[in-house]
Amino acid sequence: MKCEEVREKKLEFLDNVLPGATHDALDEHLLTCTRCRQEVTELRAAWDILDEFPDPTPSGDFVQRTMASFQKIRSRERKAVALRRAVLAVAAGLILVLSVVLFDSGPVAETGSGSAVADEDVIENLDLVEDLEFLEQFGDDLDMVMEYEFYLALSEEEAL
Amino acid sequence: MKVQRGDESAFESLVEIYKQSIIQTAYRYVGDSSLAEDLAQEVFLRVYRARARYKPLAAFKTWVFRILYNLVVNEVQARKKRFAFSLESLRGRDRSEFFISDQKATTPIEEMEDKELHRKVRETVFNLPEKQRMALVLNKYEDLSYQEIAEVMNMSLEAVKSMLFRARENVRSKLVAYLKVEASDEV
Repeated sequence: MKCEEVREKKLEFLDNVLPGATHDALDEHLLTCTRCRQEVTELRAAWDILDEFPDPTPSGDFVQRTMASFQKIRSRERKAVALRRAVLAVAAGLILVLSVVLFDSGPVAETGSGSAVADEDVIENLDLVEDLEFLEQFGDDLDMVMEYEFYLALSEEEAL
Repeated sequence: MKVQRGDESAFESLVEIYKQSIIQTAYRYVGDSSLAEDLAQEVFLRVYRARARYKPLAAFKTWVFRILYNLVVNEVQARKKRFAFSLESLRGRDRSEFFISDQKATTPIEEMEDKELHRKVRETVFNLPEKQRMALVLNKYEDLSYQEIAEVMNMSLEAVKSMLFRARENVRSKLVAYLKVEASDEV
């Protein structure tokens, strides 16, 4: 193994994650190369000296404080669930009430068939409708029409 | 699983098991024991809130550290913004001064700070670039593998190796005066 390769692999070498053969080859190189050995030794020592970093000790009430916050969150969650359920219940109730109201409103439900009946009446009394259309042509001159009707009736009587 | 169902005692056990790791990692990243505890508490509460999203496929420890990492990165960014107005006054000072804000000397940490080597080691770690610092902390103190660190920090395996390599080189160069080694030492 060459120095360049040692530089590339020394991290994994120090962490003992190199494949066995590669690890052994690097190890062998270190026996003969002072510079690489110096680097690796320093890196290992620097890594070990990091153990001197003091461990912070959690406060005695850390768990207690965390659980208090946890209770608050859970209480909020429960309220939210209860609120959601209440909203759903109200929504379901509203839908039920609307359904009943719509079902009971007969005229609305019969509008379709009622309209058909009305249409039949119109068809049956088409003559009247024609008369009505005839009358509408006269608008304000309805008196004149009345006179005309009276005149027709009189004529018919005379003819008899 | 019990935590996912909202089991209180299961959640408490989880806090007990992971509190040391989470607080220590947060502290080694932000350099403030009080802030580290606040962040750790927030991590646990986020774990609870996100419990439904946790898939047993992912290692729980990795998932928790991922939550912590995102949280501390955001916190440091927010702090940087808050202190942006005084950046001029920070120029030329150690970055460790920026992070270390608890000087009460009432906890075991502060009591140990008097020791020169401890101080130097802390300073060295706090002065590492942020990503290098987190990768090193997870690797050195939490014994996470390269792959696990890559998952926590959402980086490629190669990027993690490269960062750890640079972090170790930085540590070595900063602490070389404290290293009692000779080239002839056993490797």
